[in-house]
Amino acid sequence: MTTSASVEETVLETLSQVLDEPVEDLRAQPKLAAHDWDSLRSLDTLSQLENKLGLSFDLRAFNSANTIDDLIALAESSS
Amino acid sequence: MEDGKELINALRDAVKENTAPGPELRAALAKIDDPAVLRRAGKALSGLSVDDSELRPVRVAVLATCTIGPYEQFLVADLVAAGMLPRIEPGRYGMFEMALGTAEFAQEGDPDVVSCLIDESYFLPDEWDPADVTGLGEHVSARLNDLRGLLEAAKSKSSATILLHTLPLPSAVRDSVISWRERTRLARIWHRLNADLLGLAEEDSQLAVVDLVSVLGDAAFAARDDRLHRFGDLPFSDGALAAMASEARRFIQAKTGLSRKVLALDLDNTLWGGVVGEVGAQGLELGGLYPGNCYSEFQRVVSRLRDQGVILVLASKNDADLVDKTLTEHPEVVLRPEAFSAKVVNWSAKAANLSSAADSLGLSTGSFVFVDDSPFERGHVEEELPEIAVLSAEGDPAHLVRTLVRQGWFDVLELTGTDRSRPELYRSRTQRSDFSSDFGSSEDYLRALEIELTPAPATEFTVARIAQLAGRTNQFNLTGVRFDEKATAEMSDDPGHLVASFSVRDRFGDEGVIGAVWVDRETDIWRVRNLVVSCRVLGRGVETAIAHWLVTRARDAGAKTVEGRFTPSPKNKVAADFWTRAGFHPDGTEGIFVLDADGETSCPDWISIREGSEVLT
Repeated sequence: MTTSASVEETVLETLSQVLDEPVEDLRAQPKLAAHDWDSLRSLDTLSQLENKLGLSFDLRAFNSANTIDDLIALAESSS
Repeated sequence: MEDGKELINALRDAVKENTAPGPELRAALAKIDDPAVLRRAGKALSGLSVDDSELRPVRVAVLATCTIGPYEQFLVADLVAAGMLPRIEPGRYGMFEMALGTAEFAQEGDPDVVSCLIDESYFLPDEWDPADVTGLGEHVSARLNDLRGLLEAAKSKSSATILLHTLPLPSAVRDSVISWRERTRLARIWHRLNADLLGLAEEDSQLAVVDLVSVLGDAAFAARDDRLHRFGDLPFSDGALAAMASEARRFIQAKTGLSRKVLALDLDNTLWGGVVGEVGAQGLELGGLYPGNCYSEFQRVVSRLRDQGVILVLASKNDADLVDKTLTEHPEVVLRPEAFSAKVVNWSAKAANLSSAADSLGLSTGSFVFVDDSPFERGHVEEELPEIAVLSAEGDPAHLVRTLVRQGWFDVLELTGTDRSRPELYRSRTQRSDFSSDFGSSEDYLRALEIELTPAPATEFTVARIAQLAGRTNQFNLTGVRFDEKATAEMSDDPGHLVASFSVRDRFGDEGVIGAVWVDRETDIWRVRNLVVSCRVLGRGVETAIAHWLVTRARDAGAKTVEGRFTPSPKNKVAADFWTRAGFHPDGTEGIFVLDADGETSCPDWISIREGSEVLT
């Protein structure tokens, strides 16, 4: 089972790879729109998170996430 | 490691420094299967620009009837891994037909290849009558004719090769027809469409078609993601796009002449199961039922490659006469000695052997693919000759064929008469060459292995394994005296004797007990009754370290002389000069070698000897 802490870690790590920014910068500015967050990157994040966490998102819920914390909460509630 | 972080960072560094990723890095990249890592690798490499590089420049335009998603990144990663410097030029969204019809593929002149991504929407109308599947078939034919017209127009204006693909019938379309008869008709229409697409490439050398349907049929991932399709007009999953990119890479590699020409093969546990020097020809796994049938099938596929012009090299650490005899006489062998254009069968390091084979063939090692089951041999070749594509024959032999052919290393666009006769031409060229010269192992590589030798007196737990080694080791078996379990146990309990086992581990893992020695211990003299070492570890200096340990132990016990013996057998040629190499000298009696226990012996500096927690060298 994936624990909450590791879900958070996985989300941050994945975003850090996709957005090419260190995890600290993401924590400092959790608003996705403040980063290079476009539809291609969001889909990249979606497919990576699904593979790593073994879950499937409802794309509507995924697209309505505005912050990194929203994404973490969504991943936690879906796993 | 698993998420490819190190690899991506190394690629980024190369891009930052405007240097081409070297062969080691490209080989590591070529091994990546995970689309997520490939995608990041492609992204990291997208800014790669180097002048005067060893990479072959190639320009690829991408036209699509849908969104191309990460296809561009996959292409970049795959093409760089294959030794190319790609420039990818994606067409504008929604402009597929316009771009094809006008042949405006790229900003500056013709690209080398135009890769088209086509989804079912190109051939199917939004609305259609499930009661009139025949009518739907007419629509599909008409769309194929439209595509033909566009391709004709493109070819009249451009010299670029256009790469198409077959496409799967989405289950959502197929399953929406509930009548079995109509659904069968629909499937036939779709198969005909794909057959007609493939037919385009047969008629015209400026067109090529990837059979994506077969590739996806064999793949273990979902080919489609309905959410991405509806949300982003991205019908294909990352896995499907990565598979398409890999096929495109195969085509472009063949087109640019970067395919490999030579297949170098290990023998034991690669072309057959078992070690011929140990189990003899009759004990090999080859032919018959599993696992012998895996090796037969592997040999048949290798033979098929040879019939198409792939040059075969045999690279085996073995006794050459025994190998020749087995290849000639074993009833199940498919690849007889004459199938190989060059044979390097000796006890030297494989990297040096492969270089020497390349020299005598007049080909570069960069045109080689090498298959071996031993991580040691593969590691050595990767380290010394990173330009060689190294494939693993380790693990279940059922996977051998797939491992060999799946990446399309040897693809060519078309076979010529010269291709077919090439292996024979090269064989004559090398027949005069002598591969018996003794190459030293690469010491730097051995040092990097961090080899540890652990000698230990026989115990009730190791006696069985020691006796088994005595029974099964034929090659490095100095006297052929096979002490069985009972004799070994008795000797190990008797203070007048010493029985010791030797284990080896290195960075590839633990080899376990690989050698044993039986010694008569007298006050002044230690006589070695037999010493056996598994051929798995020969060529790493382990046997020399064992001699050093033995002499040190004898001296510590107060002995003045250590005496060794060698009794020749048809199979133990490899060990004939062991005692003299270890510093012993013949004492005048046939087969007896002696060394003053105070005399000089040395342990190779890349091996550390450990007894318990004590490190001796």
